Amino acid sequence: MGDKLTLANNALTTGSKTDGGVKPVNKKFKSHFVKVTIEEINSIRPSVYKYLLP
Amino acid sequence: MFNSYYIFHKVGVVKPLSNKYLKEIITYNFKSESNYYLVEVEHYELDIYIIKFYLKKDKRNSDKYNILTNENKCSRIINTCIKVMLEIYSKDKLASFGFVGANTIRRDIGFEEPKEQTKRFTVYKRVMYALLGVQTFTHYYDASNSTYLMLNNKSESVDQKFENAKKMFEEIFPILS
Repeated sequence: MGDKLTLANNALTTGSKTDGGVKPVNKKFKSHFVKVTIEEINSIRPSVYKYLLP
Repeated sequence: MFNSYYIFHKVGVVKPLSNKYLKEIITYNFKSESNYYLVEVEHYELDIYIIKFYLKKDKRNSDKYNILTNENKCSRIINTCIKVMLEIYSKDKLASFGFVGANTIRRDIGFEEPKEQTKRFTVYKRVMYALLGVQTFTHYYDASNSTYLMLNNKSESVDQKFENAKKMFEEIFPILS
């Protein structure tokens, strides 16, 4: 307790008790986006639904 | 199933000062049979809007996106958020949209759902497949982070926009999740 700070963007920082400093946790977020294919959509999409946007 | 929704109202716009990507946060509210909800739309650079919603009474709860309401009005609530998206789209024809399917947390029983392919993400993804077509948006998802992105096909270069959006997501994800 007392050695964690929350930044404005909710990223956590940890404070070292030995050096008294506050170091950011630089855990780089990596995205793994894949493009959705029309085949994937059609295999799942219930045909009874009408598109709100085509 | 996804044809009824709650009447919603725009209740405010906040312009954050200290975020290089975030341009504004637009807040809407609506009332279900038993609860008040807030929908927060974060408007980022690249005309990307991130949709979030939670119970108004949980506004200050750090788990607000992770709580199960047990209201059993899931389809109507999700459809209301889609109507909010459509309202934004009607005003900004270049709008692209994204969301994160938050993992469920129940502190009372010590349960925390893994962040990969969450139940919310799976449901929201199916709804997007069902209601928003590929002519208007190019759809992308990141199952490992339960994130969904729909880029507007009217954008100058969707592929370039995707690369830029990916970089931005990687920077802003700690705020989104």
